[in-house]
Amino acid sequence: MSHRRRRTLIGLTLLSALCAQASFAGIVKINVTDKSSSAAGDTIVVFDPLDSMPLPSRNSFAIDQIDKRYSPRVSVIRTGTAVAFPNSDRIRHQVYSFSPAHPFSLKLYAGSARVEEVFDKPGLVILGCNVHDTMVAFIGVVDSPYFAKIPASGKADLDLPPGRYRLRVWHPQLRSAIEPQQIIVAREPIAIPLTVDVDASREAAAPWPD
Amino acid sequence: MSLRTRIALTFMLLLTAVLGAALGAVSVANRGNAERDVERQLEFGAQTFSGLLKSNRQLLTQAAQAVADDYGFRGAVAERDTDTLVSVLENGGSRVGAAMVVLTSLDGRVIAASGSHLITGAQFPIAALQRNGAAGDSTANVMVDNGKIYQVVAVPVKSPLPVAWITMGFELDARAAQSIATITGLGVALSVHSAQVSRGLRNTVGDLRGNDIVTRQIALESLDKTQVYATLSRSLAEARAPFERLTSTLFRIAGVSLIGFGWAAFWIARNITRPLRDLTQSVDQIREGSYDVELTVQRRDELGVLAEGLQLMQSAVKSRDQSIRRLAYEDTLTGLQNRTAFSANLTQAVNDPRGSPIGVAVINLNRFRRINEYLGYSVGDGVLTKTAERLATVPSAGTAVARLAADQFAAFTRLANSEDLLAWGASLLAALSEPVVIEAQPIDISATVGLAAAHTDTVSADDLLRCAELALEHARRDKRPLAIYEEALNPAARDQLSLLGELRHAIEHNEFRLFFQPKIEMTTNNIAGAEVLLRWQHPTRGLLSPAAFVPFAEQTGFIRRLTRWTLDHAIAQAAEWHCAGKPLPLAVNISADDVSDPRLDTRVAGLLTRHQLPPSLLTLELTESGFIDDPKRALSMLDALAVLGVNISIDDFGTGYSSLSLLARMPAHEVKIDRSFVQGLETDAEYAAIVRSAIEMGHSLGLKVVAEGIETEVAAQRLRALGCDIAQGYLYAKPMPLEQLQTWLEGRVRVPVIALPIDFNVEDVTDTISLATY
Repeated sequence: MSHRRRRTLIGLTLLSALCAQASFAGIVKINVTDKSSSAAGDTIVVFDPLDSMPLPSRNSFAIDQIDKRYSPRVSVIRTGTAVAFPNSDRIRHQVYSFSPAHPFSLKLYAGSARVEEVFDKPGLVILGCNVHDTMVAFIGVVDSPYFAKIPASGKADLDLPPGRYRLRVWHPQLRSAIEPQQIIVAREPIAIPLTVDVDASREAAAPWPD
Repeated sequence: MSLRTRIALTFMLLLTAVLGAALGAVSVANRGNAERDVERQLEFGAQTFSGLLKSNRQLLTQAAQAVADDYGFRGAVAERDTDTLVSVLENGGSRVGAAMVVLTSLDGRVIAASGSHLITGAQFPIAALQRNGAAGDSTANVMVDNGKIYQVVAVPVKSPLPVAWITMGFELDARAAQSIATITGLGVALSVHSAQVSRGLRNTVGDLRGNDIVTRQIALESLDKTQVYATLSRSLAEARAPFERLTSTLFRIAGVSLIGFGWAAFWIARNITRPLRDLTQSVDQIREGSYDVELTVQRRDELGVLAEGLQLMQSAVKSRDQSIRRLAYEDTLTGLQNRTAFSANLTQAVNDPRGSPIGVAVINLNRFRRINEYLGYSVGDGVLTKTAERLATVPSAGTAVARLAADQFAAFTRLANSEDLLAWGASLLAALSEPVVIEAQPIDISATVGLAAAHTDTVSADDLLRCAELALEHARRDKRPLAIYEEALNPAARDQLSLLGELRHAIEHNEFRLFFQPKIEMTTNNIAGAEVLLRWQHPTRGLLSPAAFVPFAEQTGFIRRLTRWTLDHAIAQAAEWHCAGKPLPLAVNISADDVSDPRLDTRVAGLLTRHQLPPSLLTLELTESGFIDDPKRALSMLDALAVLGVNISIDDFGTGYSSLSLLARMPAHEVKIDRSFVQGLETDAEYAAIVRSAIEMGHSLGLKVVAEGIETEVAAQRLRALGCDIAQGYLYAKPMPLEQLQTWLEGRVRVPVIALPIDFNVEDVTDTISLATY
């Protein structure tokens, strides 16, 4: 695996200020763009708390299947989250994963039959449909409750308790892996502009930053 | 070159040219064909090879895809269950007979392999394969693994995104090469070259080396640094072989047809030319005078027609030849030989050295002209025919009887001895002694015969014949029925004969010249005319006066021809002057023999007509002796001439002994006193008396008197005093040639003449005019 370091631009200039202002909540404003400065949606950002802190409870999640597509295509969930796979198509699908984080396979099904899988190991899970090769979905399973899938606007605001975090950034077509960075969140809001180098022709999924 | 050879050769050359061109074209085309065939085969081979690789590729892709799509396999990939993976790869490969199946991770590490020496974790050039695959090139991807060449394809294993690659490959081994070779009929070789080592040819089928091997190399896409080539080859010689067989067959056919055609051409040519040759031979025979050649070519074609034409031509030529011979050698009236034939036969006889002496007779039918005149020409012809028949019956005269001229016949015979000549002549006369009966009318005939004899090989035939003619003249002059030329063999006679020949030659070659001696009117001294005198420009003896040849000519009868010649030229000259407006009367001497020519008047009339000369400008001078032989006949001829309007002059008046009554009856216009009297005038009183009385007598008969031979002025004065009208002599002018006369005449006055136009018709002018010889 290549370890060439790609420059990830993070607003390090603010870090000294952040360290001085420890507080119980801080707003982190994330803006992700690609190299051409366009908003880069479907990017997952994960803030792994490096200090011990109370964690929010787990949520449930659903990935629908519409027009032979998974929706959403990219999602990020906390370990232990049960994900439902409703089928909004009138055809049947067979959801599977060979990902080591959570290999599973659902039988062919159709309609609203509610099927749930609990993802209790962190890692990247890539979903396919055994009867529709083009259907792909990416689920980032993380232990941290602080994460976001950046929408199409490229912008996301996270409300993080002040403290130190390790920032992981991933995109399915990332040309090369982005090295996790340490982030200190204070009470003051901080802006973290991120640039991701996306290779649109990339077929295999970019490696998941563990 | 003969026609036959030419025809045959022409056909042969044509055929050779056509065959040569055709064979040349076929050869060139064949050579090109073979090369194009090889090119086509190689192209086809390349396409076949390419097609094979493409179909391999599809097969491999399908087989690899089938493995990659297998759900269980994908699970095994996810789990890296190597044993399972190897077994699945083996299974998938065996479905299509793939020799190599390799599963690699996305970064090219071998996960599992079947039929390969690659071990797990080894680097596999999957990136190049992916790159080539993405390019979608039809050329196969090949790789060399463990010294073997593989055609490989790679398909991704997706779950659902690519997680690994399956590479599946067929070995391009000898069997593969063989199958291509079998399909294409080409030599096939696969070769590997790398930077380190060129391993040369592999899996070779067929020959790749040789002078006439054409190859095509196909570079195959290689995954590593090695280069792999497929080489297709074809032997040009092998490709050419069928064409060469075809060409050689064609050459054999051409050869056989050339031989056959040549034989046929020669045969046809010979068929054409053989009758031609036969005809040519026949024509040669005809040319040589044989007119009975068989010209029957039994053919219906053009040659047959030609032969028929030649046959007809031959008979036409034959009959024409016969009639020409008849005309040339035969007298048409009597059927006897003519002079030419007789002369030829006589020559033959004379030249035969073994023969006995030859006797020649020239027979003249007496009074034949009278018969013609009084009884008509048909009777005359009858007499001639009967005469011929009679002569032909004379023993031993046989075939040698001829008609020489109108009433003149000839015969020759071999004599036992010279003495028999007279007897033979007598028998000829005897044959003509009985009257002949023409149209139930008996007609008396008689003949005069001149005889001559000679031993063979001593005289020429012509001389002998002339001797007989001279003898005839003698006989007629002596009024004897028969005369023999005694001197036939003496040298003097031979001289005379040669003179006769020379005269003939002279007349034929225009050796005679006209001289003119003017006549002067004594009272006025004006020019009254001129006497025409003959001179002979002899080639060796110079200019001869008439005294040298005229007596001889008179003696031999040649004078007639001479007179005819003189008349023709004199009349022509007088006519020329008349036409020029300066008429000068001319006087021409005629001899007694001329007067005895029954056609003299006709001849003169013909000449006057032909030259358009008024008759009054012509005077004919005749000596008195001309009347001695046959006065009646001479008178009638003179009458006839006078009727034409021609002047008649009595020459040498006073020397003859003609009676005065005869003189009175003559239709004469003038008398010429003989020069002997004129010249004696001055000295001899008797002569003076004769001249005086001659002048008086002439005047009393109403005739003009001419004195010739005047040499002195005294004589001239005496004559003038005696009343002589016209003078002629050296005193005035000598005889002179034409040019001199014309000079002499200049400035002199001429006596006026009355020139009445011709007032007679000559019915037979053409006959007269057409007399080419005189």
